[in-house]
Amino acid sequence: MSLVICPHCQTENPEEREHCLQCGRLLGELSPAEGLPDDNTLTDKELAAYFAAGQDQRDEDDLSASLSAGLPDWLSELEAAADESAGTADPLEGLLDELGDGLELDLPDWLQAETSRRSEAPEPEPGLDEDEPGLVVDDQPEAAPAMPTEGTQVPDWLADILDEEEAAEIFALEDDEDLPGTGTDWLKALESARVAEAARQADEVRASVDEEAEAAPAGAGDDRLEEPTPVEEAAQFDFSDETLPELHASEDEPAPADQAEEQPMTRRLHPSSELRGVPEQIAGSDLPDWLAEQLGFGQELEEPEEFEEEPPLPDWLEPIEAETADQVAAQLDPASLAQGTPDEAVEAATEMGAESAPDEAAATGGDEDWLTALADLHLADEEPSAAEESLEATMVLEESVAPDWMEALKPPELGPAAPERETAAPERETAASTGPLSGLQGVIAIEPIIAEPRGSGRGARSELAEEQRRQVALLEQLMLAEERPAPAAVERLPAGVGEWARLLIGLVLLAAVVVGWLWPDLGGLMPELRQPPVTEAAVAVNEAIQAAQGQIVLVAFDYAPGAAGEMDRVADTLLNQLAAGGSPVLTLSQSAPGVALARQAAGRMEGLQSQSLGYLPGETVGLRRLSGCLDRPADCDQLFPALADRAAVESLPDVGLIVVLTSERDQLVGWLEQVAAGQETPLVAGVTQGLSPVAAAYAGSNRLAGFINGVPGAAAYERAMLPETGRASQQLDSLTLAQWLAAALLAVGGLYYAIAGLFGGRKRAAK
Amino acid sequence: MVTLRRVLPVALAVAFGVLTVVGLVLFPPMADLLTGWASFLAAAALLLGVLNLLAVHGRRVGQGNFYSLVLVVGLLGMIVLGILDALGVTVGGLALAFDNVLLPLEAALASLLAFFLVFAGVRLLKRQRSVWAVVFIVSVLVVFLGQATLPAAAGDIFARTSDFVSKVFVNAGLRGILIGVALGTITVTLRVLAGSERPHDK
Repeated sequence: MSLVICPHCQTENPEEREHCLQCGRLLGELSPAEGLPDDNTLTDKELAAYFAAGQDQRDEDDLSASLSAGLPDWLSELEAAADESAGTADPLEGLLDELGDGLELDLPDWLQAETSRRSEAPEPEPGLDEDEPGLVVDDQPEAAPAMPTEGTQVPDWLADILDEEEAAEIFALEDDEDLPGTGTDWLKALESARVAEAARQADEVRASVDEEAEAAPAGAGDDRLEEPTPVEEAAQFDFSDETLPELHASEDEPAPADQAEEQPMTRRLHPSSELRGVPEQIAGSDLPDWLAEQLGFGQELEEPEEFEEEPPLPDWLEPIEAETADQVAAQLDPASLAQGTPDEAVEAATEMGAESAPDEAAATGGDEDWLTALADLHLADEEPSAAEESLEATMVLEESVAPDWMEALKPPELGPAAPERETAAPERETAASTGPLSGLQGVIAIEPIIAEPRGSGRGARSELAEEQRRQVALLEQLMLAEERPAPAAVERLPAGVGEWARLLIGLVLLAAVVVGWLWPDLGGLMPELRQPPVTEAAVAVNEAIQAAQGQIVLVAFDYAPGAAGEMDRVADTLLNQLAAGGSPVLTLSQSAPGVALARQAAGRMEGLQSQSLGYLPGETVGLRRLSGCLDRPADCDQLFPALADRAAVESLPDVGLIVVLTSERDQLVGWLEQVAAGQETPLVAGVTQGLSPVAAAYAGSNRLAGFINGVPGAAAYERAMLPETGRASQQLDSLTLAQWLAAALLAVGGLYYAIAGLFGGRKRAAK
Repeated sequence: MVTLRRVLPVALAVAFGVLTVVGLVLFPPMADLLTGWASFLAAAALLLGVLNLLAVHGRRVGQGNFYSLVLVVGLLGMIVLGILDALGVTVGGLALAFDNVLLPLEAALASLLAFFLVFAGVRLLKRQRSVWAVVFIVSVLVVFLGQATLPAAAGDIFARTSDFVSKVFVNAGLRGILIGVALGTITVTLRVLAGSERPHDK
């Protein structure tokens, strides 16, 4: 694919494109390498003045030398030619000839033809040359662009300007061609008009350049940049009235690409071709009418042949002096001007020119700088304050920089895109190809650490760090801390009937107990009250005790202090009888409290011969050892090793009766299974009323000789077996009132809640 | 090493269990010896438990627990009193603390049980209204009144009823429970001897 070099930015573009991808200008213009276009360029005089004025400066200034080194080839060649022809009135007069003859430039065909024609043809007089096609600023139109091909439609505006006769004359219409809208003859007419105007302008500019060149000091160099500055480009721009409509028209209707080369006129009519080198902001956009008027536009094409008295160029349109131009060029930033609007660029240039206006005015003797004049003209319609503010704002504005996101959106062919964004985004925003999200965009891929399966190993053994240990300790403290915040006060409901009832019941029970304690003979007030009967088991106990009179009786106190209220009565009853029978008693216990209880019980009995064996360890094992001791006296040495009095231990085999006082089932069962089973020694028990069923079971199997169940049994035993009632009967009498009251409460409460529940269930069922 | 930790306890338990059973049947002195060792181990375990209790509550005392402080002070105090009594420094000091502190406290706690049972009995039908709850209440009343001091006529009735209930229902049920417990004990013993039950490996 062939490429086309943009004449402005030197960017390579595809052949089929009309506009440059980089700068957007029309690609149909002749590139500098192809040769000098014959329109909208510096005239020979101007170039000569440029090179002449700057030659010394360039020689001295390294920057200028570098700039010169960086000049485009065509300009460098022109410079070289100018050096060679330095001193001539028109050093560029022969440049074109040389370009056509000697310089190896890649000129287009039409330019080459033109140059060759010029070299052969005599030098035409300056002025309008109707025969010479093309728009030339110079009086020697050389490069005549090819005429547009047939078939181009005449713009309506041109048709309005030109009448049919003129169009036919100018364009030499064929008989079968109609105007407007057909053929390309209208371009000829237009070209003729432009030629005339260009010639007029060329004369004017030439005259001014000559004057400036003569007046310019030798050392007034201008460090012109490689490319013409916007100011220079503005000075070079042909603001003719004919150009402006063309600009507008050509902007709206750009020439087709296929006619680009065949219609150089069209290209030249395009604002880009006309204003090559001029910033778009100045040359490519619509100029306001006031500007066009001020610039002297408005000349019609109707009288292209006649040259009216040329109005003098306004001062601001006159080419600026080199010195001023240098200053403006140094201040102006083409980039900023290129980014701004035409008005802003004009304002910026105007302000810059206004800054140097005093110096310039002093140097030129009062000539007003075109920038200043332009600013004045531009701001004439605006409020001074607003204009000043806008100018200031424009000047103080920093170079605008597109944000990163905008740069990222920029097409890659237009410039360096944001590779990071473009390359990074696609990595993640990929369409899912598998899974339930297939086909969706923007699916974030699963991280490999998650997607890749891992083996389920045992894992490393966790170890607590010191900090973690401290945290654990702190947590324990918090959990065990007593200083806990008080729980939130629970809203207590007002005491209802249940609360008062429970309180009343408790008081009544307590009163009943107290009364019985204070008045133990209450039961005696009612002699007809039935006393609990003595049981058979109790009778058996009496028989056993009677049989063991005079023998050593082993009494085991294996009940807890909590059951002492009941069991002490039983113990007292039995010990009292043993004491009355003269039987020595050996006490022991399988619990530490039992030893104390045994000591207390023995102390309460008067006339009782008792000796404490102390604590029997080992529970069931201890009982077994005790059983062995009872059979084998040698085994008794290992029992109670701390006992100082060994005689008591040695007398264990002589035990004639074993009395077990317990409130625990396991204790009773242990004695029965470990001791009574292997012994012929009878074993009787004193148990609580709650344990009486257990004792009754063993009594039925004759494993237990007998038992006394709690206070009632002890009371009945006393009444039946003992000559005098003891504390058991007294205690039972004191509990009569409490027993009645408790029974009554149980009965009444049961009946109440039973009946209430029945009625309540019926109500709920009815609902 | 792991296998040894698992096998050794089971092997020891089975071996000593079998020896004890055999000794009880065939060679009582061996059984007595083994049971003596068991008693010693039980005593050692009791001492270890006391020391552990002391250590735990000692840490809590350091954390500001007042009740732990009371426990530690009481424990150490009783130990000290017992030692002093044994050494003859004091006489009856341990008995004095026991008679005047331990016994009254336990008796007071046990005495509250009667009130709790009465209140629970009164509200039984309120919480659980069923046939068995009614049967329970009736049984309680019958037995309770059979043991109470009542007028002769009512007393005889309740006494006979209570006796009937105790001999028939209570004894039967309780014997069944005892037999079940005995059978369960035998089963567990055999399982321990066979190595299936490992109460020591917890």
